[in-house]
Amino acid sequence: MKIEETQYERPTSLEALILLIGETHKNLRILSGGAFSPSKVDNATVLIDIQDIGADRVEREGDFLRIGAAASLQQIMDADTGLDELRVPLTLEAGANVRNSLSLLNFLRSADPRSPFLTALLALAPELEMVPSGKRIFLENFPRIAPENELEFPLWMKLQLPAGFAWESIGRTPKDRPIICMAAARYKDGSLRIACGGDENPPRVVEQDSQAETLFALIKQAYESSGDDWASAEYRQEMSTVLLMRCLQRLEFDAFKKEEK
Amino acid sequence: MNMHLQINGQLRAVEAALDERLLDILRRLGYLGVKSGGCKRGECGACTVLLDGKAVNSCMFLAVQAVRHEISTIEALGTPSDQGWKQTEGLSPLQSAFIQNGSIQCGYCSSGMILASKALLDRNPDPSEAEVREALSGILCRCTAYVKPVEAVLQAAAMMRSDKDSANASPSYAQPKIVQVDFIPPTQVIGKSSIKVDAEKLAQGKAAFTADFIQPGTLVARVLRSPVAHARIVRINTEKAKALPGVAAVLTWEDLPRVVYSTAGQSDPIPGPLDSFSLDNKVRFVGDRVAFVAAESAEIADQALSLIEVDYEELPLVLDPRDALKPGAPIIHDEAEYVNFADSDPTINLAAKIRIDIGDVEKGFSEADRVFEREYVVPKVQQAHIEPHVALSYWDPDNRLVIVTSTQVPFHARRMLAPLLKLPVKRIRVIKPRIGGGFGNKQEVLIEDVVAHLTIATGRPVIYEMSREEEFIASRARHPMRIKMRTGVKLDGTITANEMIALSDTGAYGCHALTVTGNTGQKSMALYVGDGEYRKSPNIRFYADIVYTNTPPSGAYRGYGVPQGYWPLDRHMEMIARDLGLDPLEFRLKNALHSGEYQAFSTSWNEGREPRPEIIHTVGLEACVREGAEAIGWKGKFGNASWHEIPGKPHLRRGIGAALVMQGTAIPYLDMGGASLKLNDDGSFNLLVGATDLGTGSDTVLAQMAAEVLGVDKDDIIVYSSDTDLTPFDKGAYASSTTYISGTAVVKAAQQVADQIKTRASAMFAEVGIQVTPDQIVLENGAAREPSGGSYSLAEIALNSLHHTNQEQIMAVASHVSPSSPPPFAAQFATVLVDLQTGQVTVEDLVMAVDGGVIINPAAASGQIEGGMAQALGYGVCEEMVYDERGRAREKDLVDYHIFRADEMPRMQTIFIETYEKTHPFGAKAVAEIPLDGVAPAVGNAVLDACGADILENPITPEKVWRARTLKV
Repeated sequence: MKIEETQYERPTSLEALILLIGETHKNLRILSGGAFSPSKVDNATVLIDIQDIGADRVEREGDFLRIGAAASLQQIMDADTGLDELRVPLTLEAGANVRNSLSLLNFLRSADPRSPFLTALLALAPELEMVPSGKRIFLENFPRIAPENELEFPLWMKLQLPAGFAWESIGRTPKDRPIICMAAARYKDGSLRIACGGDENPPRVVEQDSQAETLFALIKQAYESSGDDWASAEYRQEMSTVLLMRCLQRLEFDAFKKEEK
Repeated sequence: MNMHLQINGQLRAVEAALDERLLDILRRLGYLGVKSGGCKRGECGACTVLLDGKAVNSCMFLAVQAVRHEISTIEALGTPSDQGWKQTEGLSPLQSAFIQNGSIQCGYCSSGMILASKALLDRNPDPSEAEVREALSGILCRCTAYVKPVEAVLQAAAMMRSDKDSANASPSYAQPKIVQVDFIPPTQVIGKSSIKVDAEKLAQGKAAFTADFIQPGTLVARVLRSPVAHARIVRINTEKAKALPGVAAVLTWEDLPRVVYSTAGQSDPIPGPLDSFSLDNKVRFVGDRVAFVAAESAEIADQALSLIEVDYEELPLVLDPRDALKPGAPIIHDEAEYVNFADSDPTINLAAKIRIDIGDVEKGFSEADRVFEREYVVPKVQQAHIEPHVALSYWDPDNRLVIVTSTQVPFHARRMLAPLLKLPVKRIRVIKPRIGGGFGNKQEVLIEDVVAHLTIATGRPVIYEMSREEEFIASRARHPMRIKMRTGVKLDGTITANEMIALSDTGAYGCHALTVTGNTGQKSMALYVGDGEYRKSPNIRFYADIVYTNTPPSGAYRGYGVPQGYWPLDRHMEMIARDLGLDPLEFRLKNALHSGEYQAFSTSWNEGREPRPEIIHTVGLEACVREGAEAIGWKGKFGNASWHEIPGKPHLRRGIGAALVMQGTAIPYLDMGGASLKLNDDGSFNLLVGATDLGTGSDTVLAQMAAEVLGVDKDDIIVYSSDTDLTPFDKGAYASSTTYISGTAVVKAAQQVADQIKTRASAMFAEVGIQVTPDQIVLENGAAREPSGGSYSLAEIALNSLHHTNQEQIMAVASHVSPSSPPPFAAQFATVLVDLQTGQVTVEDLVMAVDGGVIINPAAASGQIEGGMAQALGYGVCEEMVYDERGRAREKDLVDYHIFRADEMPRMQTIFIETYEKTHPFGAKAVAEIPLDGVAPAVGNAVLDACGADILENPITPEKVWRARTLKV
């Protein structure tokens, strides 16, 4: 399909967006901010740019955070989440320009397995609200490669803010991509959710409902086949327990401080 | 489609394809301050614009996405207030601050930095340094280490918050500390941080770089690159590509003259093997050239590449240099046209061989109390200049081929291209505009032949800009090496013999193979001559084999082989000092070269030419150590356990390290620079130089030298550099030679012009009855003054000479070649914080005290030091290029290949130790390359000091530190 024949639409409401999606049945692509991939445009019959439908916001509702698909990473970084350490993986993900440009949806579509912010998000167990179906899926189930026909896509991401959040990573320099990273979220009910990454396997989640010993074994296991050009599996396995220990210590310290208050 | 874009407050109607990026549209509309870093995915930030006041990368947006948004480019900021009869409000405070404090080196990222800073100051008028660094974190700069840009933003913020006039009246220059150890004659212009001659235009984003000069109707070139590391091309079919509408030419090896050459931009004869062809029927690395395409657009050219059918007959590979010389290894260069240089031997993959013995090395070892032996490894790293290689060619009306190119070596390029193109030199003109960084990678005739062949084929202008990926897989890099050190030492610390055996990997072609690796030994091993009797007759050995492998070629990279030498040498010195219980600084100084001694290698080696023994006159090394140690607080830190520990953080430990280094200044008896200078009607001067300012500020430094001789302000010297039709010859920008060689040529020309001015002034004084000889006349403050106080302005003298009496053009041409190569010296220091559990290293401080002779422009020179240290820091801790088992690169972008960002830099301090080098008219040596040499070993030594991890292979990654500690424990 020639680019001259591609239609560009910029709906101004959710209703108009849904109508457009309903009208089109082939090679529909969603544009939601910068960092587009050239392949996004190739062979598209319709490009729907969602920047004007109000999904470029980050909203906090009590303990929940809603992030629009067109909100930039910088907006997430500037949001009042109460999670200071969430800023760290964002600064590791990219410099300021890219954070200003890259929308949540494009980030989710383009993040590579070593992405620090993807690892951090996974620890927060976000749900994606799909449009137009209204279905909700967990982030770990979201396909990061966009389908040829984007008849359904996440318009909002919703997550429950944890009581505590800790981030640990190891890199060659302070802002280099981590060679191993870990995010831990502790919720009010005492549950703990840990995501680990930094290697060429996609970030994965280790949840803890039982003893700490099990957790350490699980995290080590998560790095069993993590050897790649950037670090050996042996190193990552050893470091996983170090980082986990640091995360846990800090989360307990946070909790302790809150109890004191 | 039609769209309207709001750009700098104006609504502009634009016709653009839906898939066109905002970057491309803006450049097409003439907003040339928006640069391309070749990545198209936001890696570098050169294409920064403000979108609704936020700094974004315009390469990451479709133009259509920017409709109904406010776009601001650098062109929206100020212009100089003096526009002839019209006055404007002038440059913005940010532009002024960047200009005044020396923030602008190559200037390629300056527009982006200024815009990102504007966005910050618009929302936060009083930012902290950390906030400034955060705001600049999306714009990569390879020149400045962000030191001066950060300071400029803080200065501008202060100026904007308070009274503008008072801030303007007292700009705070980023001045380094200067310590004079020799008598330095007083000067008026020399030694001042004069503003760079090109800073204003770069701060405005004016057309300055090669890609800014594209003409309408220019074809876009692309190169088909090999997907395999070693193969013969058995069939290549271009019919489908040629049939694609919009394709103007497709060239393969069958279409071009088969002329063997070297891509290394060096003087004639090139000191290396001739082993390259513009296109060949064999490919020797993944990324090697297969075909050239020229088309009406980049998209069509890309599509044409995909339509070229190539059948490869794959050949066995050799990727590990240790395998290259083994019997039965695949032979990479079996072409009949191969031309040997010195000991190169393609039948065994040997590109060059060096065997240097100084003194009696074996006797020295036999006299040692201890012999220390270890092997070290240094990686391949990339120059990573932000402006990619760009070249543009066209036929001029006189049927001469004009090539505008981002080259460091315009004159070498013209000479070397002529046989490839079957054109005489006189029909080629090479123009070098501003260069967006080169660092040696543009000391290569790497892409000029591509556009030239395509212009010859099509008769049309052609532009070729390498992508960021091509820069990684198909340009040049620092030679990786394995180096064995063996050192004999007396128990009192006297070195009795020192040996370095290097295995250097030149990759698939032998460009710079001999000379880079020669430097590895020559400029490192000559530093330590031993003490006592050994000092009089040092025992030094340097052997090297430089071998071919099926990896992308190595080449010139700032430092030119010397950083590879100092990693093993200085790490080795540290190990010896610690083993013998000697103070590491005293041990080094005890054995280091003194003034009045020979550069030991000059007695035995000269890059394949006849050796020319040279005595070194200025060695400021002791002062470098003294001042550097004081600045970093060596006495309070080294050996002080309490400093090493972090209270409350037992897993962290501090460490401190140092390295002593020396470099070179130009290539003696070879490097030549020329200059011409003429007087204008108003007393200003045109200075034409072949010297190639690649962002270093060399045009400014040359203007300062001319101004000093002529007694005028630097701004009265109008510099035009590097155009093979208009300027005198110069070897180009490499080997730290411009200030020393080209500068001396400028001074010679200026002295001749000064003599002519004085002679004419003498005659003019005589006409009014004042009898003075020319040598009684002094040139100062733009006038010629005689002893009794009478004077003529240079404008009066110019009018007299051009219009009134015995008319003549006052002008001169001069050139210079030096018999000397006086080395700069330096002491480099680092402190680090090591995480004992993870091995992660954070470099906290870098200090460099450097003896570069008299510093002509402290702001420019310290900018060189800072930027060089940042590159060297990457060499120390994170930069490396790795290939898989099929020769495919791991690093293809600036994400995987990490270069330091503004928000992660260590503190930096520069100290200049001024010696007076008598072989230069103002006592200068060089500073541009030496900062690359000592950072990595200083960091390595600091890591050792912190935690006992003795890393022999840089970069020092967390896993290496962890392993070294684990094995040790």
